[in-house]
Amino acid sequence: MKETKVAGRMAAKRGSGEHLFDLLPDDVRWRIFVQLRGVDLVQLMLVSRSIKAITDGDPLLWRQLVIERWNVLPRSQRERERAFWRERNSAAGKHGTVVARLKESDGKHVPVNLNADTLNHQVRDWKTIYSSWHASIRMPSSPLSGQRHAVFGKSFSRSVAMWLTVHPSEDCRLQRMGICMRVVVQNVSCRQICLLHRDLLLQCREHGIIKCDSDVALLSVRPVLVHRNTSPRSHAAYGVDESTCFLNVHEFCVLEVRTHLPGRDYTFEPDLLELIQSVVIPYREATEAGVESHALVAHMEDRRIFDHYQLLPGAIMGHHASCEKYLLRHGNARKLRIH
Amino acid sequence: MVDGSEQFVALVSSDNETFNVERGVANVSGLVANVLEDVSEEETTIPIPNVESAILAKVIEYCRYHYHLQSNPQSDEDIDKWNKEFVRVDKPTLFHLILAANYMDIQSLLDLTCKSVADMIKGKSAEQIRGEFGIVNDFTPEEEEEIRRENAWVEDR
Repeated sequence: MKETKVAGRMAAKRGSGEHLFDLLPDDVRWRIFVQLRGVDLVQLMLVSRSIKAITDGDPLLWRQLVIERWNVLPRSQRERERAFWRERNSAAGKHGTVVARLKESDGKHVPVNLNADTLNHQVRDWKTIYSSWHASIRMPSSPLSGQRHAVFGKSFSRSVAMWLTVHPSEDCRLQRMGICMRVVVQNVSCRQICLLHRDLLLQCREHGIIKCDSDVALLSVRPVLVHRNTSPRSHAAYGVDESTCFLNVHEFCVLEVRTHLPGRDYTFEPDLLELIQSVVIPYREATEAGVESHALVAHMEDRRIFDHYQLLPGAIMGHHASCEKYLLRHGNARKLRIH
Repeated sequence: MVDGSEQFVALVSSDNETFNVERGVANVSGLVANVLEDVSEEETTIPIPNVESAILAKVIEYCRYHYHLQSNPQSDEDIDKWNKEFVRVDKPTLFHLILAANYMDIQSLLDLTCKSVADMIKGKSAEQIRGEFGIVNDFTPEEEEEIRRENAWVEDR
């Protein structure tokens, strides 16, 4: 009865052009809007003038969405976290690897870079940053993903985005365990997805489809920065086993896929990369109609493979990212740089 | 912890209805907990002037359930199921619950209700959002077209 009274009063307010969002203070509206994706925010902007004024006129809201989607941190927070790790490492007297630190961090964010321009929201429009990063399918950042990692292929659907990268060996020679690919998968849908990472498939020239199962390791799942009241993950509801990876909105994971194609002797990583055509990852999504199964395919961009490798003196190869360091170390940088 | 000798406090809604609740239940609210700390032990009547009785009753239901979880733990799935059922109310009530949670400083209820509203918006078109929340479109067709053009990057992917 009393609930009807509240509803009745609100109906009268609607007649006067007011709506429910007008009831809420700014900080509470922020709490709601910050849980949305950029795509939802644009739809919300189209709803009415007053809502557009709230969503469009708040650069900090878009800034927060950029942080959430790409896992980038403002400098102040980044420095705090660096200090945390410095203190922790010196206290323990050790210099852990990135993966070890990730395990240790128990989901805490590990710092990544935002350049000075990006940080200054007075100068740059965060919505523009969001739209341009969205358009370029930018990889979210973490110690195992982000801009410093060469992308050999990427794919984007309404629900999932995927990037193919490689964790190169020091001399880019294939090791006994084969090549170490890192596949970054992010949930860009509006609901939780269930990633069947153990069913990841490689589609290869000469070898056809290769199921990776035990060669796939889940390295990390990056939590979003703002706490969200997420519902518990029910494996039974999705019909999957306990090892399956669930990703909430904007969460992403890094999968390590070790593969060695049989048949020929490959010396360098790019030789093997050229044979991989695409990576397929199945996932499940719970919709109103029930649990739907999908698969996302990312194709290797052949022509880009050798953009990321350089031939170094002594018939060795270097991954582009580590080449500069290698050449400088050997004093040959200027003479041997390959354009 | 919940025990038989629990003290009661009276919460008085804006429309002067009184709810007698266990002190522990009332303390789930940061506002009430702060007030109870500041007043003498004899003072057990706390006015909640911004919250109507219908909403206050719902808030107390939430606080009671979550308070009793301390002595009677339940699985995450059961808690989630209860929470989902709790926020299955009409929209004005949901928005008033948000306001009450904000006023009474109950962070978990604020999180729950805000998430519930965000879930109603996610994945919907502007037209569907208007329908969901009963909002009138006050844009001219030209203005709407302009906004769509400015935000065409959304459609590209």
